[in-house]
Amino acid sequence: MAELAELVLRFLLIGALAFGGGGGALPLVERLAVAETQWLTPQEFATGVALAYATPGPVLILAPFIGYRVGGLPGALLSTFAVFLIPARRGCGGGCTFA
Amino acid sequence: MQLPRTVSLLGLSLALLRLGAFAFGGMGGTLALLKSDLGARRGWITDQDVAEALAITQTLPGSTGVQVVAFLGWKLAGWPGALIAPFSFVAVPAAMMIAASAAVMALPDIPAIRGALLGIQIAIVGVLAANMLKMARSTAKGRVLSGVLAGGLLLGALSSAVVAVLALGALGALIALRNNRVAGNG
Repeated sequence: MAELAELVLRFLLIGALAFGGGGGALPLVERLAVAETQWLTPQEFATGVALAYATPGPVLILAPFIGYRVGGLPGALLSTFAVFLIPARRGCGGGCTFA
Repeated sequence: MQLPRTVSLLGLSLALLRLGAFAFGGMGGTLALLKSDLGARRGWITDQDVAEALAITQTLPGSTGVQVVAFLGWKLAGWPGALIAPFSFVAVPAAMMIAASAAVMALPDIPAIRGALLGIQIAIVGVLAANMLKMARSTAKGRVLSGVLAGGLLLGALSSAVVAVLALGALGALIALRNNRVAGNG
């Protein structure tokens, strides 16, 4: 439970700070979700990045790859939601009432 | 800004689920797909909407593609659209990544698999280096900026990103001040 909460917080932060779009934010993901937590080895992280580039959609779709490791399916879904929540909120200017 | 709520949330969600599954090729590919499907094919948005979305979101941190999709969702269906559009858009890729994560965990530890993973890991370093090279070409124009790039490379390799950012930011400010004074505007 504590680990899932940490997962959500870390991916919220990544979404909030991901300057330069998804690709530019990879060092941030590496630091916040790999180096500081050791959720993945550097080799596993590199595999995840490669798969994130090979699949359609944004590069930060890397989040469920890491989230699944940490907390199975709930971890994967929560990390996906967390990493894109703040960008989604920003996308609609001042017109949104969620988040 | 009054918004035309012309599109149902279900229709929006289904359209973006489908687009997310085909959004290969990074930002450029994603934008072209959004324009051709939501714009030309369905007539929901104009190229102007996409340009507006980019203008608003490009400087903000966070995945630009997701922000553009959220903006378009907001235009089409208000704030529920801004929430449903981006999460529909990433649903298929997220499912693929979950499957990939599970598959990588379940792979047997045999030489062929180890070799394949090693190949993937090294290949992605090459892909990232190529992306960085592209970024270097588009930002470091001229001799001075190339010098700054080289300085960043050196400082980044020898010390840390913080030192590189602070030192080269200060250098940029000094050069700008000096040029300003030489030009007689200071």
